[in-house]
Amino acid sequence: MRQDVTRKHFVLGAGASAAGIFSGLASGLAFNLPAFAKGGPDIPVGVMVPLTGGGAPYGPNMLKAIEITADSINKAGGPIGRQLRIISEDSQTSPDAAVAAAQKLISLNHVGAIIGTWSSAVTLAVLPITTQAGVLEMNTSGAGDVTSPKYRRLVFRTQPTDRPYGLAMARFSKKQGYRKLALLVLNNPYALTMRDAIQGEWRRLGMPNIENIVIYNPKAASYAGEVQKALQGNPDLLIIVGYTPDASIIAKEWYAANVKTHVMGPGFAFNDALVKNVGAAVVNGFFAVDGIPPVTQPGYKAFADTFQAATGSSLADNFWPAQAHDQMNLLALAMEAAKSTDAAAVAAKMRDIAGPPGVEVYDFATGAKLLREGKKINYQGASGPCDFDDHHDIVSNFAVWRLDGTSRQQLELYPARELI
Amino acid sequence: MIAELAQHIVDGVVLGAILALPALGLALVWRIAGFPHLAHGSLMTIAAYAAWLAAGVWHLPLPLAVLFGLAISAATGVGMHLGVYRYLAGRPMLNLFIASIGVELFLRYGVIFSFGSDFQTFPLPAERGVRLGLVVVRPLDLVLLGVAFGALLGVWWMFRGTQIGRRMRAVSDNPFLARLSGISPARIHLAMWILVSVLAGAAGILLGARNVISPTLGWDVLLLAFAAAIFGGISNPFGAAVGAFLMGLVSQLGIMWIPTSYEEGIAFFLIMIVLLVRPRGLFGEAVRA
Amino acid sequence: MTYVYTVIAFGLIYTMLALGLNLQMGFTGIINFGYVAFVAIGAYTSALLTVDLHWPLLAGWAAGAALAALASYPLGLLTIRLGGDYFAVVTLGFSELALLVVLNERQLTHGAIGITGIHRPFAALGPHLSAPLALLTIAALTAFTAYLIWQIGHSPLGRLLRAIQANESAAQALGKNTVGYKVLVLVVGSAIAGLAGALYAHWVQYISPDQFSPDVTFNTFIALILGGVGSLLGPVIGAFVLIFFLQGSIVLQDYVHIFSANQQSALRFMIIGLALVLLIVFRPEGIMGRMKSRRSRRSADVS
Repeated sequence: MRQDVTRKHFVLGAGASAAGIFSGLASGLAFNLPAFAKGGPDIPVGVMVPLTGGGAPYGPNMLKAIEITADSINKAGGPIGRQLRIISEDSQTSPDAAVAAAQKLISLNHVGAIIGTWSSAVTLAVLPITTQAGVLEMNTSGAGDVTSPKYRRLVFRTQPTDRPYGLAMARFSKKQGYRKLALLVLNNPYALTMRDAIQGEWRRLGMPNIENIVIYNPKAASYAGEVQKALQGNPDLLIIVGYTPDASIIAKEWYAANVKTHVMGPGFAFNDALVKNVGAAVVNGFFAVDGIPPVTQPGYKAFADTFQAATGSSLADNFWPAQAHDQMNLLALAMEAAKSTDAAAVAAKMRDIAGPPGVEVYDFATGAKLLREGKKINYQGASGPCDFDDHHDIVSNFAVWRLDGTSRQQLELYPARELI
Repeated sequence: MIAELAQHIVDGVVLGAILALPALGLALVWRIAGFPHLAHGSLMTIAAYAAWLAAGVWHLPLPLAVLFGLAISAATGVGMHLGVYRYLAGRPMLNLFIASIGVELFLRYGVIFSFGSDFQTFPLPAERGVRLGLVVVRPLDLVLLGVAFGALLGVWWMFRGTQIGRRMRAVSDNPFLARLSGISPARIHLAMWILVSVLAGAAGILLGARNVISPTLGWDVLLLAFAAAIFGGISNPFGAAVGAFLMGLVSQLGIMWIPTSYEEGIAFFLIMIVLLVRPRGLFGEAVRA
Repeated sequence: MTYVYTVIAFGLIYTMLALGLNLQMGFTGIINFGYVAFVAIGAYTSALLTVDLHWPLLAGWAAGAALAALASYPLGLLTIRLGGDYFAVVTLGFSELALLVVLNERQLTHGAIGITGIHRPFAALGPHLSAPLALLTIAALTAFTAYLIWQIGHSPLGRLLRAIQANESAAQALGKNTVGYKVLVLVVGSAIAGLAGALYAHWVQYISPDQFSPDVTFNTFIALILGGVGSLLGPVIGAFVLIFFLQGSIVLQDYVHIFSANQQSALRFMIIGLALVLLIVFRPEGIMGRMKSRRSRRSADVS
C-alpha cells in the first residue's frame, strides 16, 4: 500500500512539474504573442552568447557589452523611436543547446535578429533556423561556410575570416627571413582553416614545405609531447593557432624547452590575458597578428572606459565583446536607416551604415541623429572600422605587433585590399 | 633520435604522474567503497580553485595556499561521503555511480557559479627547463613526480605498515568479517575519503600550476585517469598507478608515429586490447569477494 | 511554435535513446557507457548518405540504424564476456575512439566543421508544414520503438533477459546461450540509438563532433534513472521530465532575474545534479519504477 502511495506521489509530482513548465511555456506564448503581433513599442533582440562550455571565458563579457550598448541606445531614444529589449540565451557553446535556444528566441520571444553567436559550430547550427524564419543573424565566427550564399542575405559577421590572418602570418614570416616554420594547430574549424591559409600562402611565396604541423586537441592534460614534436629540428618560427587558455599552456612549454625558435599567433589569443597568465618574460618577442584594434581610434575610445568600468577588464583584451558591442550598434543603426525592424529591410541597409562613404560615427546617438537628417553615415566600431564586403564578411586592415613585456609595438601593416 | 626518444619518455612519465594520483584515488574508492567515482575530477578542480583563491586573491604565501586547497578538497570529499555516498552503501554499484554523476554536476557547475568560467593562473613565475643529460625537464614536473612517487610510497607504506591501512584492506576484502573483528567501517571509509581527496587535491593544484585553472580541469583528465586505472587493474591501487605511468608512456611515445590528434585514442585503444587479453587489467586481482 | 516542436522532438529523441538503453541496462543489465557512439554512427551515416550521396531520407535512416547495429556486433562479440564494470569502460573507450575518428577523418566526416544542409523530412512542403509533419514522424517512430520494447518486455525473451540480469549463471545452467542474447540486446539497442541519432541529425539539420560528447550518454542515463530503470513507461517520463526541466528553466530565465546570466545557467545544472542525488538516495527506482525491496535501505548502516 505504502509503496503505491509514494509512487503515486512521484507520478503526480512529476506530472505537476511537467505541467507547470508547460503552462509556463504556454503563458509565455500568450503573454508575448499579442504584444508583438501588433508591433508593440519594444523591439525584442535575441542575444546568444556562450555562458558555459568552451566559449564561457568570453560570453559573459559579450553579454555585458551588449547590455551596456543597448542601454545607451535606449537612452538615446532607441531605433525608430522604440526601445530595444534584450533577451539573452546561453548557447552553452553547444550546437544542440543553441538550436533550442534560437528557436525559443524566435518563436517565444519573436526576435527579429539574433546577435553574438560565438564558435563556428554554434553559428552553423543556428543558421538554418534563422534563415528559414527570416531572422537576421550576426556572429563572431571565422569559418568559411558561415557566409556561404545560401545563408548570406541575412548574415553578417564582425570577425575577420581566417584567411587574412593566414596571409599576413605567411608574408610577415617570409619578410623576417624565416625559412623553417612549425605550426601548432587546435583541432577546430577556425584553426584548421587558418592553417590552410598559412600553408597555401607560404607555398605561393615559394617557401619550403612546412613539415612540422602538429594538431592538438582541446583540454589535453599535457601538451609537452605536441610542443616537442613541433619544435623538432629547431624551426625558426612556431605559429600557435588556438585560443588564450591553450596558447598559455603551450607558451609555458615552449619557454621551458629553452629553444631559439620565435613564436607567433593570432592577436585574439595572444592578448594581455596571455601576458598576465604566463608572465611578461615569456611573451617577450612574441608576434601577434590581428585586424587592427583601433585602440587609438575614436570608435574604440567611445566604448573603452564604459566597458572597463562595467567589467573591470580592458577592452583591448576583449576582442569578442568589442564585436558584440559593434553588432548591437550596427543593428540599431541599420533599423534606424531602414525605418523598419523587418530583417530583410534592415539587412539591406547594413552595408550602407557600416561602410564608406559617410560621416564617421562611433555611437548610436550621433548616427541616428545624422540618419534622421538624411545624411549618410559610416559606423566606426570598437573592434575595427566594421566595413562589410559583398559576402557580408568584415573588411579589416591587419597588422603584426611584437609583444615587449607588457606593451606591444606595431611592426608591419597589411591594408585590407592586399589580403584577398 | 635518442634525445628525441628520451624526451618523449620524460613527457610520458610526467603525464603518467598527472594521471597517477587520481587513478590511485579512483582505485581506492573502487576497492573500498565499491564504485567508479565520477566526481573525482571535482575534487581536483575545487582544490585548484581554493588554492588559487588563497594565493591569487588573498595573497597568502604559497605553502599556506596549497594547504588551504588540500583542506578544502578533503572537506569536500568528506562532505560527499557523509552527505551522499554513506546512505548508498550496499546498494548496487550503478546507484552510487549515478549519484556521483549528480555530485559531479553539482560541484562542477557550483565552481562556475562561484568563480565564473574564466580560467585563472597561480601567481608563479614562468620556469625554464633544466637540462639533465639528454633531456630538458621542467622543475615543476620534478615536483609533480616527487609528489606522485611520494604519495604512492606513502599509500603503500600505510597499507602494509600501519593499523589503519591494514584495516582498510580488511574492510575492502570483507566488510562483514571486518566488522566482526571490531573494525568500524564508518571510520575506515572516512579515512579513505580524506586520503583520496587529498591525493586528488594535490593533483589538481599541480595540474593547475602546470597548465591553467578552469572549471573542467579535473573533469578533462578524469576519463583518462579512469582508463589508466582500469588498464592497470582497478582492484589494485598500485596496479592502477602503474597503469597511469604506462599509459602516459605509451601515449607520448605513440605520438612519435601516430598523429597527435589521436593521442587520447592511443590510450583508449590500449585498454580495449589489454582488457580483451587480461579482463581484469594488467595487475588486477583475479578474484574479489 | 517551432520552439515547442523542438522541445517535443528533443523529448521524443531522448525517449528513444532511453528506450534503447533501458533494453540494455534495465532488462539485461548491460551497462553501456559508449552509447553515444552508436547515436553518432546513426547520425553521421544518415547525414553523409543523404547530403553527400543524395540518398533518399528513409534509406539514410535505415542505413544509420543498420550501421550502428553492425558496429556494435563485433564489439559485443569481443567484449560482452567481460565483467559488467569492465564492459562499461571498454564501451566508453570505444565511444571516445569513434569520436576521435569523426573529428579527424575530415575526408569522410567533414571533421570539426560538421555537416551543414541536412534535410528535414517533408522539407519540400515549406517550414510551416515540414516541422509538424517531421515531428509526427519522429513521434510515430518513437511510439513504434516503445511498442517493440513493450512486446519484448512481455515476451518469453523479455523474461529470459530479466533472468540473465538476475542470475546469469543460473540462466546458463538452464542451457540458455546468455552471451548470444546479450549480444542481440546490444545490437538491437544500438540500432535504436542509431535511428534516434539519424532522426536527431535531420531535425537539427546540422551535426558536428561537439554534439556527440559523453554528455549524451550521461543525459540518457539520467533520463532513464529519473524515469525508472527496467520499467516500461519510465524512459518516456524520464526523458520528458529532463527535457522539460532543461528548457523550462531557460524560459523561466526570461521572467526571473536573481543571479547573473551565467550564474543562472550554471544553477540549472547544479539543480539537475542535486535532483539526481536526491532521487538516487530517496527513490532509486525512479519516478515510475516499482519498489523492489527495502533491503538496500537497511544495509545503509554499514558505514
